Amino acid sequence: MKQSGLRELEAAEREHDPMVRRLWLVAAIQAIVPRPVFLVGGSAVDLHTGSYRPTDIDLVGAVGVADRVALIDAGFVESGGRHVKWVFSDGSAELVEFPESRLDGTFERITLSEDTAINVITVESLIVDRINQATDGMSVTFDEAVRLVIAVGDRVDWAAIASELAGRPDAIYLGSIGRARDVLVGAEMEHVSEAHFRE
Amino acid sequence: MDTRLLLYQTGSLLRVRREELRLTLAEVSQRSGVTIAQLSRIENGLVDARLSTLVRILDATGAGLDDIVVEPLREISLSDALRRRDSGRSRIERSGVAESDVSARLERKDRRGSDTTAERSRMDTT
Repeated sequence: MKQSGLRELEAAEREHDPMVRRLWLVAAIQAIVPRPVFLVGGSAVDLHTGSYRPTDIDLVGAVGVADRVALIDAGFVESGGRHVKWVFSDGSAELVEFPESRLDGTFERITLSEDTAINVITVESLIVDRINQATDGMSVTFDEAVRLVIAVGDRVDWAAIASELAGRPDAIYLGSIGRARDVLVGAEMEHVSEAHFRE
Repeated sequence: MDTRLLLYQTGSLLRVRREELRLTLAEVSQRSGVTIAQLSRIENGLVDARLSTLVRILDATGAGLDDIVVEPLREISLSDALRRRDSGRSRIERSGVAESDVSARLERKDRRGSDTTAERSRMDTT
């Protein structure tokens, strides 16, 4: 019997674009792990900005101990903490982390080939996530949220973002709506702030 | 149709419905006669529940089968994803904002108690 994920790992090995290579690695993991996984975090941001330089691949999903063993059997290696690592034949490596078991938000499918697709957090849910991160008062999270909004702000569903942001249980505590306004001003999109995030 | 994905989506709709009503798993369990463990597995898409079990859960939350109809997913091709990425990168470059600061991102993770040793090691070699 052919090893699960082998075809996808071979496709990743042949790929030169680092982002596409990561997507094939996600496809390989999805072929090995029996339940759905969803690409989130920096690698998802890189799909929209092309300039994020993610430090790892964050996947959410119900990935248990047995799944981790299956990944190791397929050739991934433990890399300390919550990471597993895949090392390509050219010596480069990708780290994979499973930070959560459940996707917070919505997802879309990216089709890599006729019979291979992966699940990725939608850009709307990604913006919600980045705005919530930017409520920590640090410039790095604010700057990243602004960069993402500059990259995609004119093609996203801001009504859905405003609704998702306001519907989170911690929205008032975090001050998410106010931070969304700040981010939109930073991205020179005050008109969106006026339309969807009025005080 | 990806059955695993369908189970996940159906479970998510059941969970959202329960949370909207501010019901706990224990309360839905009591109303439906489905164990808490089984409810949790269904909400997380880990099991393929029988239709009769789903109906009991829906009844317990005042919902019907219409409420767990899964919306069609947004699907895009890899080539469209690449075009989207290139467009985003161009916009960022034209805006003149600073590049993404990898060191600052890792320092933030450190401060939040994450072990970034593996990530730092990987970034040093790329």
